[in-house]
Amino acid sequence: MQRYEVEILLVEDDPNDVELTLHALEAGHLINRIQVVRDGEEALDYLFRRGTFSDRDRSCPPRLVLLDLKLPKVDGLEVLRQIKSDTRTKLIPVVILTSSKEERDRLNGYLYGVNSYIQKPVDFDQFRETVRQLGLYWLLLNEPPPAGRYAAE
Amino acid sequence: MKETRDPVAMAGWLAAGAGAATAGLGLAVLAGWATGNLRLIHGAPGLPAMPPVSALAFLLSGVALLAATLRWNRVALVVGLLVAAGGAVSLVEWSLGVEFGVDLTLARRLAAEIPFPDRMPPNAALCFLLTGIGLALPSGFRHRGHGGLPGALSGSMVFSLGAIALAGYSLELPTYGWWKVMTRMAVHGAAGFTITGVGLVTLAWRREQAQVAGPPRWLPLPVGLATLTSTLCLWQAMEAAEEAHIEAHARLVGVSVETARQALLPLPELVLPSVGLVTGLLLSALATAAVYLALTAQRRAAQAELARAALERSEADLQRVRAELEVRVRERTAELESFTYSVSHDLRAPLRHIDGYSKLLLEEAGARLDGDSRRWLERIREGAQQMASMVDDLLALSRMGRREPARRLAEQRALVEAALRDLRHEMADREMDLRVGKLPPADCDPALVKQVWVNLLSNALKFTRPRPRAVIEVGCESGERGEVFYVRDNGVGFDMKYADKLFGVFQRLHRREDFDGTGVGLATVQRIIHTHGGRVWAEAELGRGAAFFFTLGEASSRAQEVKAAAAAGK
Repeated sequence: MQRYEVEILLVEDDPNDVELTLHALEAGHLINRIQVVRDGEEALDYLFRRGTFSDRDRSCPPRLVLLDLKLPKVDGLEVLRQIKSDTRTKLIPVVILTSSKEERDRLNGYLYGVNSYIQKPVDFDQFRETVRQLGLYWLLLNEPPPAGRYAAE
Repeated sequence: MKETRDPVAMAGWLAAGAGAATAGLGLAVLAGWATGNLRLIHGAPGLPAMPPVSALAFLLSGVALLAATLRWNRVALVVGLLVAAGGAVSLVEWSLGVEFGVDLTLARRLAAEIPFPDRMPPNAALCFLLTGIGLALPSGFRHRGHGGLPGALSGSMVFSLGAIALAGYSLELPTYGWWKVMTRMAVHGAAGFTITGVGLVTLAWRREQAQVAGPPRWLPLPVGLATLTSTLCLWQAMEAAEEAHIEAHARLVGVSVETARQALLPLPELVLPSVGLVTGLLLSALATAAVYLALTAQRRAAQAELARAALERSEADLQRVRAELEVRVRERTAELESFTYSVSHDLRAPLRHIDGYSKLLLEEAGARLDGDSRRWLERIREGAQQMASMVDDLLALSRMGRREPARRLAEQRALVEAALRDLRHEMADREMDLRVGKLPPADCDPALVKQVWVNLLSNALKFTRPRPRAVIEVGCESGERGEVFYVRDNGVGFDMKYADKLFGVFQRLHRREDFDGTGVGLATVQRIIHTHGGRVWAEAELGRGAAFFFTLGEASSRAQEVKAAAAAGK
């Protein structure tokens, strides 16, 4: 099995949401190797190894990106668009995890090639269960794209 | 040169020209008398002379006309009255067969050696009387609102008397005379009256234009009067010609005039004057009517044009307002969309945090809290979740209102079945009698109307919960305005005096601890039905159950109007 330096990249600006999401991941025993970035620009810097992340090991992309939509600086849909339009990152599974289930957001998300769209439930029990299942599915059940193909083409 | 193109200014120039010409004529003839120039006195050799008093009257007429044109009203009044008085005195002389000797005095003074000609003929006297009145009346009594009519009437008569006399000289018909009076109107006098008449009418027109634009309403009257005057002159000239013919015949044959008349009576020429008179009278009536009709038609056309222009303007206004409204609606919709978007994003996040931290607190510190504290934490969580569903429902409601129904013929039975599938969790473990009657297809937005069925059936399920056996009936009956769909239950019902509150947002007729829900379901139903142009109402009895009815409206109602307006806007 391939080794991932970081398994989950959590793109979330709200500190409360970060804490609650980490709690939920912890409950699912998925807290290992998680990178939190707090806005869209930071997310892109991380993924494309720019700025503070310029010395990150290029062979180790995250296995999953959990992406909020309403983000400072660069919003979530733009981050998604850049991820999915760049050959280096387009194979990384991206899950939108957001408050909104507006038709427009869902439509744009899928148009830009998101792999999954989840609305954060208000009920914390449901939220925890959702995040747990999400982690299980994408990190354990789902087969990742073959390694080494990230930088292809 | 804007001045010359202005018809009112041009009328002024024309009237002034006529005045100057008339005055010039009078002056010239007076000069002729003073110098003994026969050419000036007679106009042409062998023709009747213009008496000095006529020449003076022409001079004064011209001055009065000029004064009236220049709006020297006092001068026009005084001189006009003088001219009228001259004409009147002459007419009195003729009718009484007396002579005041004015003419003689003037003639002797001017040229003693020239033999005194005939007096001013009665038709010339009438012309001066009319000219004087036509100039003095409007100038002296402007404030009485005579407008141009007196001037136009006198002008038309003066013109036709002059013109018919002129014509008589070329037709060799004695129209220049006056019945059996032998004195004739001089040829340049006739021309002078023609010009004066034109000046008078032009002045009257200009006076009228100062008040109302367009042809004056009185136009048929001078036209008719001119025709009538010409007819009468022509008639009397023909009569005179006939009389002369009879007299000549009598002299030739050597019989009395009466005998000659009897002998000649059957000749068709002799009835000619009468025929001429009748024809002329008819012609004047016809001319009057024709001008009147033409004017009326023109006025109507102008009114129609005005109305059309106004209509066009108001239509353009309407288009503009409609376009503005559409832009505004689009702006408002965009604003509302960004508002609801931000609500759906930002309002839910704090609620999630309240619930999440309460839950974490319960888990981490629950053991150290007493029963009350734990219960309170649970209440906090319930409150947060309740508010979250209210936010969701409000968003759903606002989405429904924004959406224009995408109508097509939809099987209501299929929609009801889909709704029941959505509600299967609420129906699980329930003893119930669900009767779905015959449902015709209806023209509606299926996605929206399915939501109506979901909300109504969900209510029916909710309020029959206390019943050991729920009876829910879905059906359709024919009403006055098309099909009426209904959902009837044997639930707890409600008091009809609160029926008006039923469809309000967040309005509840039951306590929350008895029946859950946010109070948005029926508001959503109402909004969907209204966007379809339909009607929704309820009948209920407390403790006996409730029934909700709705119609789906016509596709041709509001929705299509809106669509048509949008299409017209493009």
